[in-house]
Order: sequence, then C-alpha cells, then structure tokens
Amino acid sequence: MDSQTLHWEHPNIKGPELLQLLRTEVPQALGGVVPVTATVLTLGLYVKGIPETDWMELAEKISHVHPSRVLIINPITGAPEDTATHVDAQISATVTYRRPGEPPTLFSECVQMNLGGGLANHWIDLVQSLIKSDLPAYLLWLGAPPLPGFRWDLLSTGFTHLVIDSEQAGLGPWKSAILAGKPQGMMVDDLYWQRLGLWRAHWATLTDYPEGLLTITNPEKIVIAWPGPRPWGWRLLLGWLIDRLNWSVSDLEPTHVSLIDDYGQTIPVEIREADEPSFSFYHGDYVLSSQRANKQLQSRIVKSTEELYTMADPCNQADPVTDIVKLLNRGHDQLFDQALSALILNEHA
Amino acid sequence: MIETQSLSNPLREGLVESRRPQPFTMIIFGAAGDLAHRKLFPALYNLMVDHWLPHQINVIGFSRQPFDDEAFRREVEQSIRQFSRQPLDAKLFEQFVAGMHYLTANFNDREAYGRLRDLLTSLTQEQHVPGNYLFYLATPPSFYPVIAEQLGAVGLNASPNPQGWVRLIVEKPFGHDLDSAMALNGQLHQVFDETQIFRIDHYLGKETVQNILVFRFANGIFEPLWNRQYIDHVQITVAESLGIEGRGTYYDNAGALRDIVQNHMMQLLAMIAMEPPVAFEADAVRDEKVKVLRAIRPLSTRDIAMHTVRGQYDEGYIEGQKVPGFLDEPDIPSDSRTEAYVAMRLLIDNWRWAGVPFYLRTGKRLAKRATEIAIQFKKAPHRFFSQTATPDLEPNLLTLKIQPDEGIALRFGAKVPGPIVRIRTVNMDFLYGTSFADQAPEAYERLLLDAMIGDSTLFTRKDEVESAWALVDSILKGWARSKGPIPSYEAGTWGPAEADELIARDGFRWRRP
Repeated sequence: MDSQTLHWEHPNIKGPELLQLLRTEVPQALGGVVPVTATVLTLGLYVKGIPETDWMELAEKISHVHPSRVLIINPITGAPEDTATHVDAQISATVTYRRPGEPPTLFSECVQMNLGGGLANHWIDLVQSLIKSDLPAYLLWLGAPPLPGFRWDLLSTGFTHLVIDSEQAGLGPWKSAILAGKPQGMMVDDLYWQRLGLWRAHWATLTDYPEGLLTITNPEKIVIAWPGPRPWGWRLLLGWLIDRLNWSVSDLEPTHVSLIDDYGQTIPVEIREADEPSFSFYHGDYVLSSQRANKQLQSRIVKSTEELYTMADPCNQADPVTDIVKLLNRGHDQLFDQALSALILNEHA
Repeated sequence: MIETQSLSNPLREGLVESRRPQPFTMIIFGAAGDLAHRKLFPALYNLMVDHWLPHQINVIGFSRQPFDDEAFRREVEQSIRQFSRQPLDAKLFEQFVAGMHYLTANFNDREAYGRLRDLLTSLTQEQHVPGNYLFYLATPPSFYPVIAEQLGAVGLNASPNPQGWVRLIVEKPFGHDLDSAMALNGQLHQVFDETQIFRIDHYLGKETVQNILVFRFANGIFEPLWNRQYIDHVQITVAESLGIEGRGTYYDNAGALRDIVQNHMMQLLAMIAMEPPVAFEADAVRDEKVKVLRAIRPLSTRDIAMHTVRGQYDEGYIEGQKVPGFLDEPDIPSDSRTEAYVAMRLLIDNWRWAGVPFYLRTGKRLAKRATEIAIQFKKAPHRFFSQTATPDLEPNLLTLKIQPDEGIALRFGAKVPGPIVRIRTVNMDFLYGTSFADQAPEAYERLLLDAMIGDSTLFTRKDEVESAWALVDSILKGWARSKGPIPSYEAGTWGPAEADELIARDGFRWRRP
C-alpha cells in the first residue's frame, strides 16, 4: 500500500479551531475526498517539562504500528493563567491508498498541542473533545506526576487507560490516580512493570524445570539485592510472586520482609542495596539465583556445589517507542493489578 | 533429576509467555525436503526470534540425503536466508543451530531408529531436559505408517519420563480416499493414540481463518442472524490463478476435490456452520466441526450429476501471459479425467441450516487468486422502497476475505443523496492491513507452536478427516461412473458454464471476488 504523510502547523489557535481543523484539513488536502478512517485508538502523551524531544517523530513511529490519533499534550511551563488561552498546534496525518478508485484511508493522525494561558492547567476538557469515541484511549504520562488534587475523576471519563512509568518516582504518587480511576473503569498500566516482564518470563521458564519449580515456589529464604534509592522493582516482582504463590505479607520493612506461605510457614526476605539487581531463592541444598549483569538476566540453579542449570536472557535496552508499542499490543495486564493488591497497595511500611 | 511436584507452573499463568512450550526435541523426517526448507526451518527460526521457544530445543533431521551435522546446519541457514519472514541474525542463528543434529538414514532402516533413540536419550540426559519429543513427518504419505511402526518398535512412541510427552505431526494429504484414510488412521493408532497425533492443515493456521471463530463467537450481533431465518445462502470460493506449477504427477493423482475440497474447504465450511462450542478447547471445537460434517446431506448419484460440476481449463491468458490448457501441462496425461475445477452445492441437515444451500467452488487458472466466504442474507421481507428508483438493490452480503486481501466486508444499501429515494449498494470494509499493522506470523509458526504446547484445536481429528472423506469419496465414485466429457473453461475465466448453471438453478449467481 502506498502512503503519504501530510503536515500542517497552526500557531496561536483556539481549542474549537483545532477540532475543526482535524475534521477538514485532510479532506481538503485530498481534493474534497473524505477518507475512510482506520484509527483503532487514541493515545495521549503528556510531556510537560520534558525538554527537547521530537514528540511528533515518536508519535508517528507509534502510530505506524497502531493506527491511532496521537495527542501530544504539552502545557507550556510557567505560562501565566491570565495570558490568552491558545494552542500552538502541529498536525500530521498519514493517508494510505489501497486500490485505484477506492477512497484513501486515514491511517493515523498526530497532533502536538503546546498549550498556553489557562489551557496549560485546564486542558482536560479540550483533550476530551479530541478523543475518538468508543475506542480505547490511553494517556501516557511521561512527565512528573501531578500534584495532589489533580482531577483524575475528570480525566478518567475520557481515557480508558493511564500509563505511568513507576521506575521514575515509584507508585506512591499514582495511588490517587489508581483509586480515582476505578469508578470510571480507567485502568492503570506501568511501563516499568512491563520492563520487569523479562524477570517474570525468565522465572516462568526456570520453573518449567522441577528443581526451579521446587526452589522458587517453596523457598526457605529469599535474598534480594536492588539498586537504591528507588527500590520499586523488587516490590513489583515480590508482589507478583506473593500473588501467584498465594503467599501473604506479615511484615514489610525497607530491609526485610516476612512472608507466610500457604502452609503457614514464614519465609524471611532479606533486602540489600547493590549495584545490580538480583534475587536468590534457597530451598534445602538448592539455590536458584538470578542476577542482571552485563546486559543479561542470568540464572543458575545449584545443588550443594553442583551447578544443574544456567540460563541467560538478553536485557534489551529500553526505548520509549518499543515500550509503548508493546504495551498497546498487550493491553492491560491483570497481573499488575494483582501484584499491586498483594503488596504495593497494602504495604504498611 | 527430581520429580516435579505439580504439572502446572503457577508462574506461567497470565504471562504473555504462558504459551511457551517446555524444552523438547523436534525430529523432522524428510528434513532435506522442500517442506522443511520452505516452511519448517523458517517457522522454527521465527518462533525463536519472537521468543516463543524454550531455552533448550534440539532439532534432529532424519532423511536419506547424506549430510553431517555441519552440512545440515548450512542447509538450514540457506533456508532461513531464503524463506524466513525475519532476516537472519548471526548471533541468534548460532544459538538456533547449536542444538541441530542430523541422521542420514532410510525411513525403513530399523537400525537408524535405534541410533535416533540413543541420540535422544543422550541429549535428554546431558541437558537435564524432560524427554519431550515432537516428530514431524515431512515425507511422502506412503512413509507415514512405516515411520510410525519403526518409532513404536524402538519405544519412541512414549516418553522415557512419566511427565514427558511424545507427539506426531503428519502433513496432508491424509489418505487418498476414505478407505486409505481409515487404514492410515488404523496404522498410526497401533503405535500412537489420537491425543498424540496432530494432522496439520495449514489453512487453519491462517490468522483470517482463526478469525472466523472470533468473528462469530466474540461478537454478539452476528450469531443471532447466523441461521436459516436470515441467511439465504453461503458461497465459499478458493480460486487460484496459478496452474499446477510442476506438480503434474501429484496433481493428476489428486485433483481439486482431494487437494482443496476434502481438507481446506471442508474446514472452512465447518467453521462457518458449526454451533458455538462449550469452550475454546480442542475437543469442544472439533466436536462441533464433526457434527457439521456429519450433517451434510449425502449426495446420491443423481445429486452428484445435478449438484456437482468438475472441469479442466483450456489454454487462455493469465495477467496477459498465454498459459497452456490442463491436458497440455507437463506430466498430465492427455486423456486425464482429473478435475482442476470443482463446484458443488451442499445442504446441511440440521436445525440451524435446513434448506440453506452452501455453494463451494475451487479451481486452478481462474480469473484471480481469492479465498473468500460470502454469506448472503435474505432480502428485506417487505419491499418498502419498491416504488422508488431502486432496481439494483442487492441483498446484504457479509464477506470474510481470507486471501489475498484479508478482511471483512459488509454490503448494505444506503440512500443516494438527493431529493428522491434512491438506494445504492455500499460496502463497509475492514482490512487487516490497515487496522493491524503488525506482521502476522506464518501459519506454520502458529501450528508448530500449538503442537509444541499440545493444543490440538487447530489440527484435524480422525473423525473429522473421515467424515470429510466420506463426502468426497461419494462424489469421486459418482464421477467415476460418469463417462461423459468433462466440462472445460478458458484459463483466466471463472470456471465452466455448467457451474454457472448449477447455481442459477436456485436463482443465484456466483459472486465475483
């Protein structure tokens, strides 16, 4: 299929003008032909305060895989409320041509909105009007978490998914979003949780081996080493294990955790700070240790001094486009909710 | 190695990687052949690139062609360079071929099967992997019983590990007629039980074929209309513009009925007509498909004359190129009575489909390549707009497009803008290429992965094969009794005039895909 990408720039316009332009510009450029729309979702990228990134390029790469309307929401930092409300907009639209004589297809649209004046703070209702109805709508919050009091209740009536990256600031600042979004059915997805998927898949493969299954599912002790100062990763992984293996938490401190397995036995978990993350599970003579080092996640199962298995998976460098595309492919991961329920939201530390 | 406490792995549940198979060894009989080169090695490699394979898999090639391990690996490399949908990555390829071995042997050489068993045992022990074996018979069908018997004789029809598994994948054609299919099933069952046998029909691995079930059973709006009350008739078309492409000897023995109708088209028919299964599980789905095949009204000799048409193409033009007629193709005898085209009308005698004709047609050298299923709905019961200018208002038509333009289209009437009521037929189109931009896996990738996991939903069960053969057999026998000339059609057209007459007798006409 042939395709072409059309570009426009519209400085200093009002919100309703932007809506009108999105309706009319593509047909005008196609000589009055109204294209068939192939969009399958709306993706918002909230990028306030992140310097010098070509968001349009990133949006076009994502929408190349997932035909979508991508809305780049960029409130102008420090814009005074009392200056005139305006939007500096860049729009691109990719149109594909299927067969001669058939109308072209509007494959994707990317809209960068630099929001000034009152819109810098009150942008939700403008964005709501740009969300494609009846299709999934993801908001990827790339900037710092908002201050308490943010209107998650309002946002969750438009977006079906809030995507965060808890590697930056942990999960604490997002608790209000998670709770406020629930009544409207807004789900929260975490890019850091997704990146930790390598650990989960790796352990799932190790537990295909009887020795791996025995050691991970019946540990007498777990030792975790994780780089500081934001130790969210081990909590997410431990939360997942707790949920999967029907364990419960009896004590949760920064340096140790006590778990109770489904036979009522206590599993002590020791937490240390280290440069590279690792988990070690101990069961009798068996030790299963997994460590991220040299761009690999490496594991070995040892019985006394005999090495039974080794396994290594490459840790691919995270890049935002791949992360987002993967998340959109996968959709919401219920394991994340379950891990949160198991550990993160119930923590008493 | 310690015994596993539980067969299930709690850490797999809910992961994208939940479908990753356990470590296993795949043994490909006919590893030097065309199927292995074009489909199997690329499919395995792509599965590995996409992280669907376990960390330890071994592949053993077993074939008559004299290779050593290194030469076999070079053959595999060549195959991937030529046929893989993903480019060859040197580092990944090294990992891929590290577990590849080759045995040069005849398929009926008992001693070679002993060597195969010894190799499997040593790999299992050295690598601490469970004794999981996946045998793939990429050989001529005449070797299926031979290989199965030899495997049984050396005890390779069962895993040495109580938790291990042994599976056997066999390619189509599965039998030449009902008797030979039943005989082959009997021979395989002497060694393997039905749960171990995976009969592959690559059509079922196609995304759009699987989407038939999703379309029907994941959407609430269509199923209430999916019956004789609302559906007028169904047309299933598997049209090819290619000829027999150097497969004259095979094709003259097979013909369109055996090559396409008995397997691919019967599967499409079953998926369109089946009742909702109680679960999306292998036996539940296949039970419902078998019920459909068994409900197809048997064809009497008269029915065969009235409701089936066979044909052979004459010379003609395809995309501007002159092409020879069927009887002038290499390796086709000049007096061949093998059909290169089939059309038929079938009825399904059950509550849902009573009285709804299903028209099937397939052929070589037709006007274009297209595999489509068209469901034509009944016209609106009252011609409310009959006094207006609507002479060409067509009934609603739902088309499931399988290849080459994968998608779904719904035809309906819409008012032409203007001061009078004029209705024009318009199409609502969904194309896989525009809504899902990701590259779909090849059919063999999906099917191999399913076999590795042990999910036989998309494989054909013994009773499915035999039910399909029962119908096809009756047609073959009817045709054998008919000594008249075989209808012909010009290459590059839509088939013989007799096929148009077949459907016209019911007041319909063939769609033009």
